[in-house]
Amino acid sequence: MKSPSDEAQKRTWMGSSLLLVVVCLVPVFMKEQYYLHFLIMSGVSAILCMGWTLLLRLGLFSLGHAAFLGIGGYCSAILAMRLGLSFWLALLLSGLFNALLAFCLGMIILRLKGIYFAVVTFAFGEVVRILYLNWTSLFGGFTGISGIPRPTPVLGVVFDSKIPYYYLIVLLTTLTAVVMYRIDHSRAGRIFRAIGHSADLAQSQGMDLRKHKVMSFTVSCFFAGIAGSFLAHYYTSLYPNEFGVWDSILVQIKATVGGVATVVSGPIVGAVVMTVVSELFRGYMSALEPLFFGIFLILVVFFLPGGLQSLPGVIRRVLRTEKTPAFSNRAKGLENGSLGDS
Amino acid sequence: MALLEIRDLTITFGGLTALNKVSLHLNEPSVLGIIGPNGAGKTTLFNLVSGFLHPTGGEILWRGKNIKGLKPPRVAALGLVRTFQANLVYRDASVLENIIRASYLHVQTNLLQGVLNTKAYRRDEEAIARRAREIIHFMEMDDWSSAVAGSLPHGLQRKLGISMALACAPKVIMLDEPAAGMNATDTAHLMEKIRQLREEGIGVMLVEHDMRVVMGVCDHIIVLNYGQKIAEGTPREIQKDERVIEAYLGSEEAVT
Amino acid sequence: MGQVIVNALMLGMTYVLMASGLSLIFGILQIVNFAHGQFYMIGAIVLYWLYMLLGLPYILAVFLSMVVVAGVGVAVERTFFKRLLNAPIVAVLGVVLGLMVGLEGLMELLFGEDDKNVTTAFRGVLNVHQFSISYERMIIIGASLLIMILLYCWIRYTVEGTATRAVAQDRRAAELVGIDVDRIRLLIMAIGSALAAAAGSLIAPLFFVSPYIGTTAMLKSLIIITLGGMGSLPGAALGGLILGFIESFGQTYLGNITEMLGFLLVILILLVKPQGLFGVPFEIAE
Repeated sequence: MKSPSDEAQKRTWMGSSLLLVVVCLVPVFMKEQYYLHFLIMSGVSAILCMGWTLLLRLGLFSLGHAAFLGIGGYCSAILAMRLGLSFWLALLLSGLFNALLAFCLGMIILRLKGIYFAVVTFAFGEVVRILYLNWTSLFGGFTGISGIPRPTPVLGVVFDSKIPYYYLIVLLTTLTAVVMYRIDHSRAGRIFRAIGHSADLAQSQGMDLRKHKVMSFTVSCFFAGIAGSFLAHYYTSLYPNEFGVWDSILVQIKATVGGVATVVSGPIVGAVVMTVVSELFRGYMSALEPLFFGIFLILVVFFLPGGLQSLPGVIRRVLRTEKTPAFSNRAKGLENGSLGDS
Repeated sequence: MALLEIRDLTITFGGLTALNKVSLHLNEPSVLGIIGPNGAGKTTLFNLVSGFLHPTGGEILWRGKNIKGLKPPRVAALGLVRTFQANLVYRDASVLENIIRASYLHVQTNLLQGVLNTKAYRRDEEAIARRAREIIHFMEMDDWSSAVAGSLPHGLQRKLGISMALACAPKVIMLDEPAAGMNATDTAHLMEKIRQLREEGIGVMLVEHDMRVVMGVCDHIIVLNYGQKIAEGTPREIQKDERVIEAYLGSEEAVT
Repeated sequence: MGQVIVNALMLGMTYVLMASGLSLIFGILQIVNFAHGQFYMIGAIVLYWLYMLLGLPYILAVFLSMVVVAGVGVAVERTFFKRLLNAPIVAVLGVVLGLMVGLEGLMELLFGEDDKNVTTAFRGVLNVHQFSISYERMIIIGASLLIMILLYCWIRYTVEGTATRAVAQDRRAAELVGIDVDRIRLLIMAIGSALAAAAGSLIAPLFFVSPYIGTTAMLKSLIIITLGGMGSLPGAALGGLILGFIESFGQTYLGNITEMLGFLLVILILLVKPQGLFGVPFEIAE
């Protein structure tokens, strides 16, 4: 994939800035604070999904991403409650702790290919979850940790309603998005794609597999840690069963539905849409939620492989009935061939 | 000093000895051909030299230094670059993008500078793009520079493979059956390019089945059969060598 | 102590059934069917319906649940897996995870959220020396063993079984000698799913039945085939028994930490011998 020309990049920055302004104005117009919760959760999801998608670039399919969210959360809670650190410091340290953990873990497990890596990440997630359940003195076991302090006031802003949290998550998500965008659209992104597409070819051109895999894993988990820390101090309580395999699968579903051809827009769209949808399902129709998610995911895979973020392009093409078969693979954003070819 | 020297290189898989004490050397920019019937171990040789396989015996020396056991990225970084027998390209990217991706070894700036989009990085990227275009021009693929690699016809994909290897600034390039499936025109072009590479000071190791190419372009040839070197010499000498003729004819008979 | 061993065997055998199914499917279709655990769950639920609600005899109900789930498996293969032949891994994993989630949701709707019980069909206990083994457990062990023996015979001695081994080794070569690979895929999907259903139905009376038991079953199956080697039947057998023993002894002597052992073992194996104990990936080793 070519990195966008300067023209296209400028448009992206302008469009995103506009979007950001709109996003910042939402609380002004939204009377019901309750709905802010959806958007806040979308933000957390978005950070996870972006990180997950970055890993996918190198052909790494993580089934343990929610676990890193949890580690960030627990780490932050412990730092704040046991060491009395302020949220802001705990936020940074949780991210760094996650990064360190990812680095060490990555050095060992990132040599594994495809499905084996997926299995390890999920085994890791489960090990961590069981650890939370059993090491009650540190992690509170089944009942988890509660009474996590809210972020200390900064610049006169007190965290006593959803609004400050909203702006904080917008800030964090934007930060993540900017970093992810720059990574994906710079040489790093190129290298990651090369490795993900053909490890042998990439190696023969001088690219060290492990170094780059560890790099992306570290970055990805750093942001997951930050998101986790935010989550802990937003909920003010943590339960071990919120960060299991299921939740990792949800990350995958949201990102895939949004579209993994892009590292920012697709995952964000997917996170927002699916989080809002899942909140809608809560209450009455919670039983329908898994069924719907499953069906939706499968439909997207077969009929809209580029995800929701490819929808405008698909509609445009259908309207113009343009046929560009050689490019259709790229439009779908799938790296290793397209669905339906045999 | 020889650029590349291989001594008694051996590899055994399970009970099978795929390569048995093969020795060769590549001096000064020249073109070395490696021929032999199918299964003789030619690609295995490439895999061993480029670090994709570990030999069970023997030495590999690059400019006098032992490189046995180095991983493929390190070998490439030394200037010993290979292509693949299969059409290995980045199928979903354009030809230009393929070559830019392959220009990993050529960079002056690091990844952080890339993320920060510094001036130095941008200049570096421009230089890379320029060089990529030069390579496309050298390989006469200008018309195809924005074509998607996966949609290219076979001969062009092979050319792309060679182009990508060139992007790695090789001192020696190992071409694995570059003429496979090429028509006569493409083959003639290929031979011309190989000669040009030699003129530019790049050594070439060539595994090929197409005898026109081998005899027309190689300075020196070694012949492998069943993992062993059975002959070596100039094209003329090889053409007359009885063992070589027997090896090829013998295998033909088995087929018919 | 004897009880612990019996439990280990019982758990182990059912795990072997399930893991073999997953391994077979991986070996022939090259897909890690994350929805495999749901087949286990559906097997248990169908058993509940047939045995508890319709009152069919237990053995018949087990058999029928295997048939039903085999049908589900075939439907899944025709509708989804067949279209995934050359798809990128994102798409494949997307589909199997979508199935995993969707099937659980579907059964949640059809069955309800609550755990239900299946009363055992074989009351009573056999007393041998100081041991007492419940007939229930004996039946489970026996039935599983029988099924595995049948499977082994099928693979070894029938035409389809041999064809299956050929496909597992080299699909293209198998096609070239005229084997109908498509049919083999269907067959294996049916058998693999049926094995999962068998595990689910057999063990249902001992635990409870709910739409949520699939995920745990899947996790365990993954542990087993990773331990034993993906695509290897002996590997699945060994891995299943190992896990059964670890769990049984672990629960008795170590308590809750046991859950972690399986996963730690996976991590260990993947670092030391990623292909698994018997691993020659993409092959049903014999």
